[in-house]
Amino acid sequence: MKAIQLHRDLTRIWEGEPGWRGVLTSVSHTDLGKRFIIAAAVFFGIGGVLAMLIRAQLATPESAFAGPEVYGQIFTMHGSIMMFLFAIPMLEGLAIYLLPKILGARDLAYPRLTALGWWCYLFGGSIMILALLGGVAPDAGWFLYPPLSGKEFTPGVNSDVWLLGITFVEISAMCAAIEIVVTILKFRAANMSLTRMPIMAWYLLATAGMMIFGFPPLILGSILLELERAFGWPFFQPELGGSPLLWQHLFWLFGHPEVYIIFLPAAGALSTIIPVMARTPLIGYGAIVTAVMALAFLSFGLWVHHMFTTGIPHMALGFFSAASVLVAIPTAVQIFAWIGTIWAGRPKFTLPMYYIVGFFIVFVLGGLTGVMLAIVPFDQQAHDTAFVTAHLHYVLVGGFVFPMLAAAYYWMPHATGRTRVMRLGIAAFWLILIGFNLTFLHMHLTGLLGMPRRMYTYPAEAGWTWLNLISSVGSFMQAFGFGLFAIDIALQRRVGNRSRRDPWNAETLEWAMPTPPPQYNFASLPTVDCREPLTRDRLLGAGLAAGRGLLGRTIGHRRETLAVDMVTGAPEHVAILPGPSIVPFQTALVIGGFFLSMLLSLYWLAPVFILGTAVMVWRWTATTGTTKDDGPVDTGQGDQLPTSFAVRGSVGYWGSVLAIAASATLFASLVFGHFFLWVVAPNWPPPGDFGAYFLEPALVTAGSLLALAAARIGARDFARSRNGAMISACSLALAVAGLLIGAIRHLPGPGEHSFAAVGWTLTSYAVFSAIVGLLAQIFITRRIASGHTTSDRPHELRIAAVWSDYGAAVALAVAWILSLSSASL
Amino acid sequence: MIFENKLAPVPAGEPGEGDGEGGDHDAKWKHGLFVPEQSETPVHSQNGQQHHGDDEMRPAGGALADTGHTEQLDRAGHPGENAEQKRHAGRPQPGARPENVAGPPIEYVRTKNAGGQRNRESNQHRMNWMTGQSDARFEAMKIGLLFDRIDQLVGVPLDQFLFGNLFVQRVGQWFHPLRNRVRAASATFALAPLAACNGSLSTIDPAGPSALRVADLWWWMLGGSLLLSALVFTLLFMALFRRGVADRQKPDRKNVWIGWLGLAMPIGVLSVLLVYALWVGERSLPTGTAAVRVEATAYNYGWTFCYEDGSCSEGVMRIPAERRVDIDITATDVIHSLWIPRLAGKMDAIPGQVNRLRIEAEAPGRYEAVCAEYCGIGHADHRFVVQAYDIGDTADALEAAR
Repeated sequence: MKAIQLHRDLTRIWEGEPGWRGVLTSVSHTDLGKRFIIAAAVFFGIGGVLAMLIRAQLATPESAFAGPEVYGQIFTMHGSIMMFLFAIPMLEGLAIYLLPKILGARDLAYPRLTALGWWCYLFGGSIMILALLGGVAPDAGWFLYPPLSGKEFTPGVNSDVWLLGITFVEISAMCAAIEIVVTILKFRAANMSLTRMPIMAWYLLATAGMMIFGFPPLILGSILLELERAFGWPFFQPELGGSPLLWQHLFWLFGHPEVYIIFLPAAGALSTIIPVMARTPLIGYGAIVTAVMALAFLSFGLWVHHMFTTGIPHMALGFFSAASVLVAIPTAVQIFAWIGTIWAGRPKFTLPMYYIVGFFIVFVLGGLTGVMLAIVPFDQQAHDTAFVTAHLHYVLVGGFVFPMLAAAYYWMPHATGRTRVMRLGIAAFWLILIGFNLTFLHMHLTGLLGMPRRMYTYPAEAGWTWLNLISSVGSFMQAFGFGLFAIDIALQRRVGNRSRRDPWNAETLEWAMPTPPPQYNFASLPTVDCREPLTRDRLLGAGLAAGRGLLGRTIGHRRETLAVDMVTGAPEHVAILPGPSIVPFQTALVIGGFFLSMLLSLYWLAPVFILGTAVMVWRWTATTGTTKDDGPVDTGQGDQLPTSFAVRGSVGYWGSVLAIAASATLFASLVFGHFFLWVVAPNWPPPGDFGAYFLEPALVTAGSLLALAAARIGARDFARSRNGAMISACSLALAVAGLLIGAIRHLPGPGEHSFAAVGWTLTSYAVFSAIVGLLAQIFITRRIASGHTTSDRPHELRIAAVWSDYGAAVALAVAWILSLSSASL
Repeated sequence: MIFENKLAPVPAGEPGEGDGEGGDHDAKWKHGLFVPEQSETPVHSQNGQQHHGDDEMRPAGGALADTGHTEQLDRAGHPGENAEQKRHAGRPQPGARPENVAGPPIEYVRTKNAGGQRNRESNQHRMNWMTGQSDARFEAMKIGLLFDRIDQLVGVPLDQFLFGNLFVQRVGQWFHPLRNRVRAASATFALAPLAACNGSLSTIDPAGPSALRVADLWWWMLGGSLLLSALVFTLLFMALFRRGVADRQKPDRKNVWIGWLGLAMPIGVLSVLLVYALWVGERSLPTGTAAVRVEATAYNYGWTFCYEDGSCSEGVMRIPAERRVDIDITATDVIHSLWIPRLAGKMDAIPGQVNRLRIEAEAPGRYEAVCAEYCGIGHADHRFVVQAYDIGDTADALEAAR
């Protein structure tokens, strides 16, 4: 009886609002995760149709099917959709759906942020697709190299669609990344120390960490290129001191980690599924975790291998070549750990296992050609040919699509509570595997025979006719395979038989809940003492449902989950999560308004939406927290824990730290750009006289230091914190004034030279960061006045201090970088 | 050997023309045969090997090559043409390419405005002179070669570099024909559908030292990859289909899987590959002096080539065969990439920046080239042609190229 009552209470607390309003206000990770996955699958379908158009065009020489203009849009959109609208959101969806469940939590760290990410993804993706339908889709290749993508050579809106649409979608990636890291570090089952985490959590931790540092360079690059296109700031124009290579560096600083960002979650799925199917624990857990971390680290040191033909000195290329082949080692560790696991166990030939075998075949070949392409002299021959096209499809389809298909069949019974119906999945597997190899295996040869990428047609004399025709036939075979897969999944969803809970005899906590999962995941939260809690105790799920875990009781209408110590997993506090909210949807709409006004060149309207976004963020934060002090709460097992309002290290604090880390990466990329142009670009130094100036930097220094000191004093003594926040905000205003006066008095107009353009961008960034810090401090004074922030609930003080400290530090750095640069020009 | 014949696709100086003796000299001269053969002698003695080891190394045409070798030393000429091509096919070019010492300055050739017949005559004269003075020139060259010793240390044929001479003597005997046969087969397979174009853009039908080294690298990597994937797939399928062990407590052999297969094997393989690749890359760099400089400018949609004498050409790059040519590449609008697949790897043409690429055509002929970086709607047709002319036949070829 108690269990049923508990279930009713939790359902009342966790369920979303009914009807259409519920669709807009849902913050449930299960709903949003499924939406991400379904939308990503739809975009995969659209990208797949574009791929079929490419293959139809290339099937015969001198084909009249599509002209070069249309073909340019098709291949650009195929790449962009598959990368940004399929692969990344698919892995986000998988993480969003799965993460709290495998960690033993009830939701992610920031449910409303999940919703914001979803709407940004949906709106940004829709802009791209609408542009495609309208015939104004991006057409300069998915890596959008300037000057081709610049205003002069792409005067239409095409490149803007990419820059703005993708940046919009990127917001969702950044939200997801921060959320995944904090969730893994804080929202785990009691006593789940780092070493007891399911291996998937390690993979997602590495992935999200890479996203936090990998995406900002691309976002910066997009901002710079959009500034150049919209306002003529010459970052990439050599005649005005810019360099097209700066874009390539920024793009591939993102672009290479991106490959591992896509691969790692898929590898995590494999590391989860293979031991279950082999009926034995994964061998080399520690080695795999080390390999994953090494991969995450190394992947940032090899972006130049996309630039082996740009004229960089050979010895420097040798370094990046070595780093590139080095990543083969952690990958090999994982491959052999998986094979070793299968060897040690008794493999079951289930449907996921078919796709896993497909993964091995395709991915190993892709990895080997990857090593070949990491070799400088060979890459200089194969670069930008069909060989690379073949290689990247082997890696991405092998390393992502096949594991995702396996994962789909593995977790479908979890999401639907049903088993598969027919053997369609096996037929689909053979069609996809054979079709894939028929498309891409000999495409390596096509490339070696000299066929460059991105040719809309080729002469019959070139001798690539048969090779291309076979590829086209294979690709359509593959398309039928994917179609069959989609039908199979739809059938399973509709008419599959009810499956029992945990049909695979799995090891991880997501199977210790009813399927399909209730909105609250677990009626009570588990305590774990090993890595495979379900193997240890097959009845764990029933016990949890009966309320024999932690928090197996309800307090009012409060959404609760457990937050733990980051390392040991000891219970630390009870996190109280927000319920359904329309604010994320509205915020996404306002952000969308900004992107649309930029896209439609309504530049006067854009600041209105920036202001609107600030208002929305203020509203968002103002609705969190509490003014009531209800002290520590009972965990349901006799222990008392504080709530998240009363602790210093709340998830809000860690999220802020990570957001600042991402912002600092963007800043570092911009500073890199400044010095890169200075050293590498032609037409330097800029014309005109640049003298040293110290007055304005001194002003900024005074403001920044004062802001830092005031925030320190406020944090130490609550009685002084309101005044401290006020002083801090005023000092930041002083710093902003110093920055602006310095730029106006000493920098030339941003359109004149890349030095001035970068200088104005640096100044704008510093002003932006300082204003964010300033607003955070003003916000705190309001929160103290309203009674949300007290000496017992001080965590918002800490959060505001992080933001204002960062604003002050950036203002200080930028003021001196610009002053000293001017002095030495 | 089908493939070997492909390596010299355009017969250089029309051997049918002129008298047999002169034609023979001419061909040898063009292939740089006379000089490099001799330059090899110091390399091998330095490695403590007799040069008959060098002969043993060429199994298929061994006897012929041996004869040729002797003949060269004695009479400075008349080697088997086959043996020379064999050298090109079997391994990368040796380090010292002494054309700069022995060859006439390119300007000299340029100034010749005479008609074909006269040119051929003067060529004949030059060759006769060469034959007479061969000993003296050889002495002079030896001095020059001393400076190339360090280069040669690395510049020995790759199999010797990797495995030492002994290995090459013993194993290479069957290995070389095998490799050539693999290549010939692959080339036949690859080029079978290409009868019409003869692989005009094929990287695996190299016609210059740089492309040849990369093609060699490719075949090595392909072989290695096949072995490695065979290993992985065998282990995978054995793991899948071997009889299951019911006992979960059995040792899982973590050391073997992760320590040996996951760590030690790739580290070993990749180290060797990296050293080899670095060697190949260094060898193809535009170091030292090139015989000829060309300035290439890419634009939407065409290519301009300007030469040292101030003349320029559109869509056709004229270079002397068998000479190192440095191309200084740039672009005026968007990024392009200059790629002559049969001669060398590609190099981007970037506005505001000049990149240098070293190429060399082994024989006179036409070499197709394409733009490899997407440059807009005209990308697919953004091509040009390299016309490598015979330096002994300058005026004719220049005329033809124009």
